[in-house]
Amino acid sequence: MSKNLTFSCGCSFRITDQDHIEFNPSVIDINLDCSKTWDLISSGNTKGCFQLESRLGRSMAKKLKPENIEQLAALISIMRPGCLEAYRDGKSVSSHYIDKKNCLESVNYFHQSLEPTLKNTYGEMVYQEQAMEITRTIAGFDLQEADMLRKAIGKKKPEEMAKVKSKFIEGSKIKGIVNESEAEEIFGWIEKSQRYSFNKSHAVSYAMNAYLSAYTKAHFPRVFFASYLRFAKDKIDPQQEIKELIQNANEMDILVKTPDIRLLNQYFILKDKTIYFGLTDIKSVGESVYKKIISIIEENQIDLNSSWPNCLFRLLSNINSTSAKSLISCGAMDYTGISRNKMLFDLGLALKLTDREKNIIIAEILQNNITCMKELFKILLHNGKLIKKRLEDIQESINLLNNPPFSLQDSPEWISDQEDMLLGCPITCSKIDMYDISMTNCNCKDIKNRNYLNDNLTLAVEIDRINTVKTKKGKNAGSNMAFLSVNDGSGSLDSVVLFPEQYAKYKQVLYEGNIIVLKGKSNKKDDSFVVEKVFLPSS
Amino acid sequence: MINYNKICVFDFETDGSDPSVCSPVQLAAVMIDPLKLEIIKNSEFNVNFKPERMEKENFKYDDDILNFHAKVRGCEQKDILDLWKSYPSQKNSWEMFTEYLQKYHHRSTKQSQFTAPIAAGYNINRFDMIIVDRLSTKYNNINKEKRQNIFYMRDIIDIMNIVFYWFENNSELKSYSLDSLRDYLGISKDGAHDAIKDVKDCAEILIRFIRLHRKLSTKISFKDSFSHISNV
Repeated sequence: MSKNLTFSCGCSFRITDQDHIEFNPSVIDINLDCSKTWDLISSGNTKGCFQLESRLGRSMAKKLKPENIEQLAALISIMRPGCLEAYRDGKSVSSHYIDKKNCLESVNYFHQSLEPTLKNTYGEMVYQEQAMEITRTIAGFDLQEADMLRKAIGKKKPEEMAKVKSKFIEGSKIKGIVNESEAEEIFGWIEKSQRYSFNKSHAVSYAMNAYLSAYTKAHFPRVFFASYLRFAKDKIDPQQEIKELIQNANEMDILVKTPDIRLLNQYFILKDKTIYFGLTDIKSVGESVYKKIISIIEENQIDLNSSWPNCLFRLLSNINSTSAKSLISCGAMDYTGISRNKMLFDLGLALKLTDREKNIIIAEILQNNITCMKELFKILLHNGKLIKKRLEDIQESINLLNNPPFSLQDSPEWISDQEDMLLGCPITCSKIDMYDISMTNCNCKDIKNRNYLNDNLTLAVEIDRINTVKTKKGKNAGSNMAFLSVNDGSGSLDSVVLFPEQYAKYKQVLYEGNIIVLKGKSNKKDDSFVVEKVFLPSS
Repeated sequence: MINYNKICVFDFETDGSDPSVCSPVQLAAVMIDPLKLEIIKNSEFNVNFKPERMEKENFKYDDDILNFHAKVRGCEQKDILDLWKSYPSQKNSWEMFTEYLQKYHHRSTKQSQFTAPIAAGYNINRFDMIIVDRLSTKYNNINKEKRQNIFYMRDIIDIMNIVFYWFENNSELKSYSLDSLRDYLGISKDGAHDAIKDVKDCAEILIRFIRLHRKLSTKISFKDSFSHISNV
């Protein structure tokens, strides 16, 4: 809870700080009938929303399509392992609830007297409070006795259970609403349900928080993502969290950019409707490096908008080299307009200089505003203050600047790898950008813009994950088929299906990280994509 | 099980024929994408080295080696010596190469020798890798076992070995030299013995063999192929 409360405070801070919108996301003031919020939850777009952010949460929100807090609380309750694993008539209690809510299964209450208690949950016993209420209705238990029943079931003590049961049967006889066998059956039902049922007060408070986060996501998506990205570091797998949040932000047309050193922000920020990574969100740039950057800039009054050599010799060559390389590689210096590989190359040469040589160069930059690396090294060469050995080294550097041993261009693959490694996911470009994917444009542009009515979709994707399973039924029973998770930079698809025939035919090109073109049909109902053909794009 | 490590095809041009003492004068490399089996765009690396011998005052070279290089470059022996003298120091050039290799580690995992590119080349087991080991030791690019740590540790692809397996019964291939192979495969020899030309040719040959191998491996099953041999 604390993370989500902090998140709410974070939202409030950032909106007033950056966009000057006054918004205090409080559960007291919030409109609980906001159609935009319920639409967002029902579409399964709940990445980042409290309790609903897991894959299971997203898919169940989409299936259930909750329309009010009562149903949202029920959703949070039926998502728990107990409910999912409790089977009745060959179906989990969760599925019963979803089907009943969506009018795919009739609602019955076992006994009419239970209707008022179970009406809100379509006849399913979802909450512990419902069980307690039933004991009051059927057996006339007072609240203390009802709580004893809850505790007895929870502790699974047979002696206590036997005591409560006989009390329940006796009470039901006195009340006379149901006969003895019905009372026994109801007690058995309560007993079973208590293995999975959830505390309603808890579920409702969760639901309020889930609604609050979904409301923020629906109305203030940029703030929502900026705040959640800030907290991604606290997750078990921060890299995966950042990747999923950014993919989701892209799907919602929210621009997320690589860090920009000029902004000097430590964490994720929202600026001009764009989310920027913070400097400490870069791997290998810690708080101490951040503080050092700030102090160097302040002490030396460095204008980061000035030339590249100015930043290189006055700032980057004075912090640790790993951090300097990371800043360049992840795109924090892209505003200079120079390729990242060229900047890394220049940094390598700058780091070989002595402090004295650097000071000569800095003096030239400040006095004569020289911005050309070669020019600066030539000045150093003709300075007349260096020993012969150093002159040879400087001449070598000039030769290397004139004729670098490898390409200093940035390939999309390299950029996406570096960003993946340093930021958690590719931001500037996707590996797919390396390939000629013009063949996909006639039928479909990308995952985000796919047309569900089109039976003939073509998508260029990178394979994130492959899961192979053996089919149990059908003519190919026992053969392998595959489920892929793929992305194309614009979004991701989690259920790409290759049936046994297609899997056998194309398994050679199915490996994680490979870029492939998929042709097939998309099914909006379950958001799956059934593959008919696989191609390799040309580079 | 696909090997995700990139394949680095490299070649040294040296100032001698004994890999345990000679100095490199040129090193070229290209990277192969192991998934797509293509030379990675803009992955060419080419650097020159000032030979170690030239660091001393009274160095001397045999005519044979200077003649060889003069012939390849179409110039005089003296020009070769002047050229070599102008090359960057071995330390700096070697550093460039190790930086280049670092750029091509397997993506998104922590960089280690397991993510490093696989060394590949023509006759590298008997020549180029010996130089790599020497320079790695000299410039401290070594692992705990005191072996080079710049390339993948488990594998070295010597294209000459592959050629040997495919052509051992083929008399049309005059010898196992790269020039003979170029002749046989119809690859132009223009610019041969320039390290960058050699590595590009080698990379294309290697790609063709790996493609063939991948195609054949799907059609040949080794499963239980030894089961008829009784366990003694």
